[in-house]
Amino acid sequence: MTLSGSDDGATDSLAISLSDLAWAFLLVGAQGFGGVAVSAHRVLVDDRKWLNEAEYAAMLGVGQALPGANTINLAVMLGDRVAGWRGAVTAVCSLMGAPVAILAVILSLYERFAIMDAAAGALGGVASAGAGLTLSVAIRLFLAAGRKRYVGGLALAAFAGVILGVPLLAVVFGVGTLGFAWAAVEPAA
Amino acid sequence: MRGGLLMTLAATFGGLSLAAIGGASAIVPAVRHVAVVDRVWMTDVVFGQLYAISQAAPGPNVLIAGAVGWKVAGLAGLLIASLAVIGPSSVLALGLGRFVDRHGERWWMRAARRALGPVAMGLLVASALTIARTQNHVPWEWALTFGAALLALCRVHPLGVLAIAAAVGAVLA
Repeated sequence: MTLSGSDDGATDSLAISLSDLAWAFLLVGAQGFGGVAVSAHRVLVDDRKWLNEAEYAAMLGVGQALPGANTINLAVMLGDRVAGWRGAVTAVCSLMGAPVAILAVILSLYERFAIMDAAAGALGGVASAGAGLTLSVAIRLFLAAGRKRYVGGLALAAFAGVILGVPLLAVVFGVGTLGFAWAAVEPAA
Repeated sequence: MRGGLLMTLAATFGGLSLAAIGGASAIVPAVRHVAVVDRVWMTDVVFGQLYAISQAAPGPNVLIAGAVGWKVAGLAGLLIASLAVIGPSSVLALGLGRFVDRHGERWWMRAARRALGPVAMGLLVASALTIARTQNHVPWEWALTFGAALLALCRVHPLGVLAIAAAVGAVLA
């Protein structure tokens, strides 16, 4: 998985400056209510077009297979592609900047006042909707993958594994191996 | 004393960083055990509140580490715990990302990319369902979840969707 987008013949490298990178990931973090995969998709795929749907799904998949938050791993890898380790550090610090600052503010308000009912209700509503947004990203990635039967089957297997309580590592490598075998024999579209 | 606390935070979350397979949700039970049972930094109730707050803030869910750090050692604790939980896994991602780039055009790497995309989709759906099940207790909360998915699929901006959800939650809760 590279920015070069080997699967669709896109350009080999994108001219992204460090400040572009920092700004983009600042937005990803600040808008990351209810799951950063949603805002990362919005900023990196829809708005900036730095990644297409397939590249985003693959990069998120690699980030998911590694320890740590998938979107932080994605920021590391994308930042490294743009400007080496400086790019990686920039992307991660930008991604975490707004969330850490907002967390500090909420925590200090919470300590001082405790949270009022309406505010708690609003936060609950945001959390419920956040789950829906995450679902919508999965659906859009699936639609963009061409509604192939093997894509749906693998996604369903991974979903079922997690819901049935199979350890995540086993799910990623088990279903990943199945998919690998399939992709190796099935010619790319 | 304070320096010792910060060292303990760094060691605790640095160690958990590489265990967070599948994201920080995977280490929440381990974090709770350290904070509530081993170190007795807080009660179960306080841990639950910190978890809810870290979920409400935008950003990756590794924020639970920062929230625990805050409770233990204030702002410095928040920063140290956040850095510690991010650091080791990010170094690993950097190394693997470079390996992937170097071998990106080999057939087996193409196949791996095509295999991991669907896995990510399935895990996203599972994570959506997990959040929804812990968060949603009454029908209108489920309606919020599916309504939000529908609006987002119709290309409504996520922040617009969340603003509507916040208003609905504030009125109905």
